[in-house]
This record gives sequence, structure tokens and C-alpha cells, in this order.
Amino acid sequence: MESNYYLYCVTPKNNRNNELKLIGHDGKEVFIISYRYLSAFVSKTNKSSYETNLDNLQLHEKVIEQIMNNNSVLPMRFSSICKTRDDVKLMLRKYYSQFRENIKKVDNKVEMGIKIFYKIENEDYEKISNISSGKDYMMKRFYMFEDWKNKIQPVLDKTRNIHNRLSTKSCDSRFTNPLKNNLIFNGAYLVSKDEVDKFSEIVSEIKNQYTEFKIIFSGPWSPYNFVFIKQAGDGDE
Amino acid sequence: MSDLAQQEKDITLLELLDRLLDKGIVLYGDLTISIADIDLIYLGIRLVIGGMDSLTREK
Repeated sequence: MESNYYLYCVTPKNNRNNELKLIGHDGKEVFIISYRYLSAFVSKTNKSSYETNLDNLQLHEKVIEQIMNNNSVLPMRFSSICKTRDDVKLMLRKYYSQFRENIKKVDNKVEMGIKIFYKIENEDYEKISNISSGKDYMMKRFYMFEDWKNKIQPVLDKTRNIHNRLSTKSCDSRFTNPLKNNLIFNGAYLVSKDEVDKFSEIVSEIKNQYTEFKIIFSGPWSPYNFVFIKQAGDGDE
Repeated sequence: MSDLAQQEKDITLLELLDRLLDKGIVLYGDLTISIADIDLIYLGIRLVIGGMDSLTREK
């Protein structure tokens, strides 16, 4: 028997959403649980967690994308599950004002993503690889670090220029420089729906200009990077 | 599966992992009972990075 509720997203309440016919995990129908002006999109499940694989992730995202067409959407993290219908309502009640604030912020906007990959070749300090002491070893590590630092800085400066250009066409943005596995820049941009084309044009220009980078452009996403809930929601009740 | 198709799949997976497991609304504790399986997440990321590495080397 399916007694748990898998959560996909929270939206403003909208009676037209009752006509949406969506299929969620395990082929179950997606339906709405509402509290005042908010709705949670859920499907019934007998599981208490879902395996992290491509199919399950894509299904979660696909359901949200369809809802996103006609709604401002606050996406839930993958595999968020409530035990009872009352818990879903309680969640909407407990975080009511925070949900409403977030909806206001992302209303009529989508998230676009930019990832930049670049391989930084490190000099091989073989000339001092004939390590005979701890000091030699430390010197080698020091030279390698200096070399890497000198090479990475101009690359980071370029990603900062790219970020600045993209920021001018977005309402909000986030980025990190992971510098791991050739991923040197990971950015997310909150873009008005009617600015998406302009934003995409700028990305094309950037791709043509920085051919040394592998740039992955993705979107429109629901605003995963721009929704924030403080856990101490008790004051909302 | 061709290398290109595999790469596309890896990129899709990376983008999804990046958002669905790391971002979005998460409510720990009292109301929700599940946070996705951590071990599997890391396994997934390693697979993806392998694909990315070959993708950048190709250039």
C-alpha cells in the first residue's frame, strides 16, 4: 500500500493546475495538496527513498518542468518524502511565509546554467624528482604549486569577465570556481523569461570568443539555486 | 552506445546531480523522511567526471 508522499515542488495555488495530468515515480499520478494560497505537487509511494540514478533524476525534473510552464515553481530536492498528507500540509503551513517570499523572488524567472571546463597542464618537475631529502620533496611541491598558481590566475580572471557579462542580463547569480576535474567555473543565473533569448545570445558570443574553454550551457531550469528555506520555520505558524 | 551519446548522458547526469541533490528546497528532520542515498551520489559523480575528462582532452 502506498502511504508516503513524494514531493516535487511548491507553487502558488492555481485552479487550472487541477487539469494537469502528470505521471510521477512508479507510474503514479501527480496530484495537488493545498494550504491557503500554496500547493504542493506530490505522488503516492510506498518507498522511503529513491535510488539516485539518471532515470529517477530525469523523472523528478520532467514533472517539475511541466508544472513550470504555467507556474512559478519552488523545486524540492530529489527524494523528499513525507509520511502523511497532514505532514505535507504542515510543511506548507510551517514554511508558508518563506515559501511565499521565495515565490515572489523567482516569479516569471528561470535558472540558466554555465559550466566551464579547462585542462590546466602542470609542468613536470622531473629535474628535481630525484628526491634525496625531505627538503627536495618540499621544493618540488612548492614549484609545482607556484606554477599552477601562475597558470590558474589568468584563467580565473577570464571566467570572472564571463560572469560579469552574464550578470548584466540576470536578476541574481551564483558562481563557484571548483577547480576540480577540469571544472573551473560553475555558474547559475536567474533570468526573466522574456530575457532568455538575449541571455542565450550573449552565451553564444562568449562561446565564440573563448574557444579555449569547453562551455556547457543549460536551461531553462526551475530555480534550484535561488530558493532558500531557513530551517527554523516555527515563527511562521 | 557511442562516445558522444555517452558524453551527452554524462553531462545531463552532471547537471541533474548538481541541482537535484545539492540545491532546491530541503527540509531536514521532522517532516520529510528521506534524503537521497549518499554513497550512490558519489559513485555517480566519479562516473561523470571520467566522461568530462575525455571530453576536454578531445579539443
